[in-house]
Amino acid sequence: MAVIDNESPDQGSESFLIESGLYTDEDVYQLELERIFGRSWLFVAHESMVPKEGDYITTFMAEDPVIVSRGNDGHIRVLLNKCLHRGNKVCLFDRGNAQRFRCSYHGWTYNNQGGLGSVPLLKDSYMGDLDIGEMSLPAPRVANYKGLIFACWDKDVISLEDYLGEDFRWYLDTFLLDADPLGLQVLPGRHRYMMPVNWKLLAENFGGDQYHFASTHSSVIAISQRPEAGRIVHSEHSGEHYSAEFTSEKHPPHGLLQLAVGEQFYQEDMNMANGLGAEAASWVTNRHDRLQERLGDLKTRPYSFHTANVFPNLSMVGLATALYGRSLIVWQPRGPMRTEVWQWCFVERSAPDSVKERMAFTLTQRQAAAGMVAPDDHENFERTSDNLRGWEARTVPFHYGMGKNSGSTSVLPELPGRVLPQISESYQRSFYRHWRKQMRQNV
Amino acid sequence: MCDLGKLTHLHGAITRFYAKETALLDDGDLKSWLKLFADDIRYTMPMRESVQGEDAVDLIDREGLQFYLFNDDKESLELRVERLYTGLAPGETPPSVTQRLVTDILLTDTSTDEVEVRSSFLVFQVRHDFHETIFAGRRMDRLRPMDDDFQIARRKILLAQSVLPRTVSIFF
Repeated sequence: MAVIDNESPDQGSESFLIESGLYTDEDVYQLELERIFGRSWLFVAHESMVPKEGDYITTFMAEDPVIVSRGNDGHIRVLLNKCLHRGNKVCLFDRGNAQRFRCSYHGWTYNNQGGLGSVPLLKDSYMGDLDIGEMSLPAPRVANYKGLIFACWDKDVISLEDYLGEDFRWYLDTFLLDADPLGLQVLPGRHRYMMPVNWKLLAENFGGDQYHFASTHSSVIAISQRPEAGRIVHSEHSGEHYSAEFTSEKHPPHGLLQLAVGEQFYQEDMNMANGLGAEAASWVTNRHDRLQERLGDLKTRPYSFHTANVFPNLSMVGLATALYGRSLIVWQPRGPMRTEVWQWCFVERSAPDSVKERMAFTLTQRQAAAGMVAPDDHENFERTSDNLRGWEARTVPFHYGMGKNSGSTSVLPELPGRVLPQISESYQRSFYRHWRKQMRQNV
Repeated sequence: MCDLGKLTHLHGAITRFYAKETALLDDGDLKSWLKLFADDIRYTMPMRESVQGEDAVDLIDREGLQFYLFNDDKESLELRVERLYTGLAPGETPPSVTQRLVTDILLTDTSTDEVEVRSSFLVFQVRHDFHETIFAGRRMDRLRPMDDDFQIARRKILLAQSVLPRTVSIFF
């Protein structure tokens, strides 16, 4: 397949060009389901979505429907939502609490740990010929990183810790997973919406494309000085910002944007928190004190990052300020030119109600299905996909050349990973280099 | 006038009010549309989920902390409209063509000065000639009589869709 066998984008003079076929080709897409989504750790849930025994959510690992179930033994499993008999779904709700999952076709019934518990007419019609004790719903490997539940169909995959990598985990821990003493709390109402574009263009945008903000979202910048915007703005362009890339031979590439360094961002959060009252202000102060402890004696004092992508299709947004809902987004692939977006809003559990409400409000108003940011991304991607229907247009590659000669040294070597200028296309080049490598591995 | 006569009169007035609102939205006159809302408007749209067990609730009545699609007051609605009027938002440049139908107008509570109204809507949205989207759902409004007309004091919207066909750049 040409688009996979071509030279890596880091080789040759035209190395930063990506063929349009990566975003349109059905054969490429089918191979991705096997070699990218079948072999990567995929985010399926946060443990706050299934707090009690019997709690479950249904979601997808790429195109495969799965149940994330906390069994009666307290363990969280991921189960393929497909009856072993005729392939029907066994769980039909988005979330709930259940002792068993029953297929409506012939009534095969599984317990909440995936085991086949009962089959109608087992004695009379199977006549002892079916050993249901040995049968259970197919289950991928599952790993829990500080509440984030991932699953992988490849039994030989590296550990989740190694997959995320030590450097990226430092940022995840420092700014998301260790930020609150009580952890993250998912809110009801996860968004699901369709985007008419290949999943890769969305994933690499969140991991590496700060460049688009000033143009695509100029309407948000234009209104940011209005008094009505006071509840939802934060400094994206003033102050010290970087991006960071986590690329290694040992794990897939991850990237983050809007790494904010300096006290200015804390002061802005305090100003906003003061508007919510003393309780909110005190919480933001304590949160900042805890951050200072985590940062230890680093001379560089980062306050937050805002968006990120974990290869292949888990993105984050909303981490820039203490008052913005933390959001996890999964780009569920739905064919070469369609993506179903799954987006959750989390709040920090120790926050006072006034802060939690503000966090959810800000996310809703901005990067969410009906917010003031996502529809403009949608529009750009829709036009891109429309163009890719053209035979001639498909011969014109995508351009990922920004910063290709800027070297590979970190601009803030004291921090983990490779810290880069805020605007770069380095992460995208790493993303596609790794994608091609993983697509070529036929076992 | 008998009670039935009063109700018929009220129903007619509300039907005309909705027709006027629909025309403002379909004509793209969002600044005039905003004037239909009371200053204390709460405008919400929850996300549909199918929940099994004790957490199952009637979604349109689900209150409290959640990840809404719309969770707006007058100020945030004004900000949304101001953003579209900048002319810098690709998602509405050029503006979507919309055609709305509002129907099944039921007065569900007329016992106080403010009238509770349930209606059904269907919004047909066209972008770039051939991207056609239908949003369908229901609204629960509380209308406040004002002079010879009404203001919308509360609007709850519930889409029929559980997976939105596209991101939302329009109003309901």
